[in-house]
Amino acid sequence: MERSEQLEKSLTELEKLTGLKLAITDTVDEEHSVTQINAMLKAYKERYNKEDFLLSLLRGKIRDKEAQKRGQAFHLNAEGDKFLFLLQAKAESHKEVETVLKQLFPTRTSIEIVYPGGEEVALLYYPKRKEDIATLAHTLADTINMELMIKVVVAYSEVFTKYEELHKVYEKCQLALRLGTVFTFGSNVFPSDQLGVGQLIDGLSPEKCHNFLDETFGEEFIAELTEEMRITANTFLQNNLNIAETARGLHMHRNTLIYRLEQIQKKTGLDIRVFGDALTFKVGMMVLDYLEMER
Amino acid sequence: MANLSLKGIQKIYPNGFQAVKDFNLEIEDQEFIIFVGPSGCGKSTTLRMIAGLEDISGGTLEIDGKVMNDVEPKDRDIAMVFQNYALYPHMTVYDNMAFGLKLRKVPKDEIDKKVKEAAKILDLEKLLDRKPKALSGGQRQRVAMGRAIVRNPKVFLMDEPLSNLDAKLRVQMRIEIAKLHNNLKATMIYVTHDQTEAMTLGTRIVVMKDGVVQQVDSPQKLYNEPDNLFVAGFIGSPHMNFVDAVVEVKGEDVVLKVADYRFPLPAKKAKALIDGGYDGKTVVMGVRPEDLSDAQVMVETNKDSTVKAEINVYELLGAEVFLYFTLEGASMTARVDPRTTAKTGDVIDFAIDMEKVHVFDKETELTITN
Repeated sequence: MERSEQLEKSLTELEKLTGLKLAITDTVDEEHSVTQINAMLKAYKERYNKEDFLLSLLRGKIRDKEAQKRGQAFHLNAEGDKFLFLLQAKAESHKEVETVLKQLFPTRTSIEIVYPGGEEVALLYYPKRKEDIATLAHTLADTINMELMIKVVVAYSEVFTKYEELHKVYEKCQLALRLGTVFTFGSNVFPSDQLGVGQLIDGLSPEKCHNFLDETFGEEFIAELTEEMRITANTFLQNNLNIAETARGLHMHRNTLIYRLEQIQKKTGLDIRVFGDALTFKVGMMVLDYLEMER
Repeated sequence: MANLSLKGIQKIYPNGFQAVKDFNLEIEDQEFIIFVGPSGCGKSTTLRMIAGLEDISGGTLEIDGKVMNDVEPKDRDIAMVFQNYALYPHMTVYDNMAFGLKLRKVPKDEIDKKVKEAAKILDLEKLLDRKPKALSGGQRQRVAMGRAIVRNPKVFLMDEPLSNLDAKLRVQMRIEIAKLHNNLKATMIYVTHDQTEAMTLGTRIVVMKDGVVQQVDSPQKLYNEPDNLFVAGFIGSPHMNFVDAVVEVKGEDVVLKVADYRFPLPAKKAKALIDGGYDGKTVVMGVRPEDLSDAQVMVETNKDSTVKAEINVYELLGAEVFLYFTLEGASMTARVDPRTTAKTGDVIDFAIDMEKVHVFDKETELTITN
């Protein structure tokens, strides 16, 4: 019977983990018992299993004072400098990623590796001396690329000292990964203290985004937006609104470029040759990219 | 080994940013190809697309005739050496080189054979039991190369592997990499921002700027026959001198007017300007530093193409001297014999070797005379 199997499973795990053997009578409510036992198991793991403790810290489930106390119980460095590296790689490669990461650090006690879920690998680093964390982040990314021939992106935190800060640090790294993959190009390493304009856009409700886009572009423009228009507009913005440089970069006659810019103006009302309109256009495109990522 | 074909390769990011535009290149087996250009030009992005670490937005990549666009990086039979490589600090040289093969569950005796073969090529045989901290910078770099060699890949991809080394070690390692290429007879693609590295290592160089290939040629041709202003200025150190000049045509003769000077062009170059309809137009005259001379004999035999200028800076480099001066607002550098008596503040004559002069269209920046 299914319920009985669940209860057996929970009891077996409880005995394995704690050595406790519970006597179950016939009158007990099995579903309630399973819930109770699983809650005990969870609490036990958080208290006595380092990995679960760190995961709970990452997820913000442990209170400040408790974090310090439990960290000491696990012989974790409570006061020293710490950094968090948050890697994103396919889940099936995590075992190999862990193998590579463990070999990269001279002592095993200088790192802790946990898996928050999905494609994330969190590496908590306790440096023994001052070092360039940005270079270390690139080293992690390059070594994984070279050794395992897999794609990986890495976000890294600023220095922090207290375990109770880990949750906020983790959230910032997650944000850096999210924004980095949408708004930063040509890099697979993202510092969490350089989130840029993207952090203003992050957290906007879809409703606000759609309102802004309707106001800025109108539905028609978004539906008709082609890759060619994106490339034209983006190249123009990158070349500081310079017609000659943009035309040269796109290998087109300046008149063709001007025609395309006028088409954008016709559809959106924005003349991106003018700084104010260019700024509105740029922010609009970032909001559009953000919405597409969230989808 | 392998030949590669890149046809119309593009990288366009979601916001429309084009990192690489219409990249076309055929790479023959055993070629040593260099991608060179300033930071942000798309060279690393192109390399990463070849590796499979970046998705290709458009175009086709083939290795030995097989389309690789959607093939996973580890199935492309390539090996990479990146700028920020790290050796595993508590492993011996042997274990560092063997690690990747162990991860792939290669049999132990095969690992041993491959590591020892690679160690022989890299002259690391006596160092196999050492740990990285007991190695010199050059030895560590060779171990990093060894990790790639043991895979016996079809293609080696290197992304600025020497950038973190000091200048002296870089020169030493350049020679090692060149020797390695000869020994392995492998196809290698090497990315660098350093034009000296590019010129000394490659059989063919791809010069890139803003995601676009500017010119693909041998080092010699790039230096002597640059296709445009960017290539001319990027290749060569110190870089080519540029100054605006107005073209004046009289019959079959052409002079380039710079301030009060009128420099006559040799017949072949003159014809190119006449045929291109440049009479009265402003062009860009390019002169390499070594084609400016302060030697008396040169000044006397090139009276029509001599300028008088005050030396702003004198720089002795040992085997040569650089003299810096200004011509019509443009900063100029002359590479002269170290026995020159010229010094800062002197006003002297510089002869321009007009046979070696380059002329570029000011608007398109393309070469007219090459």
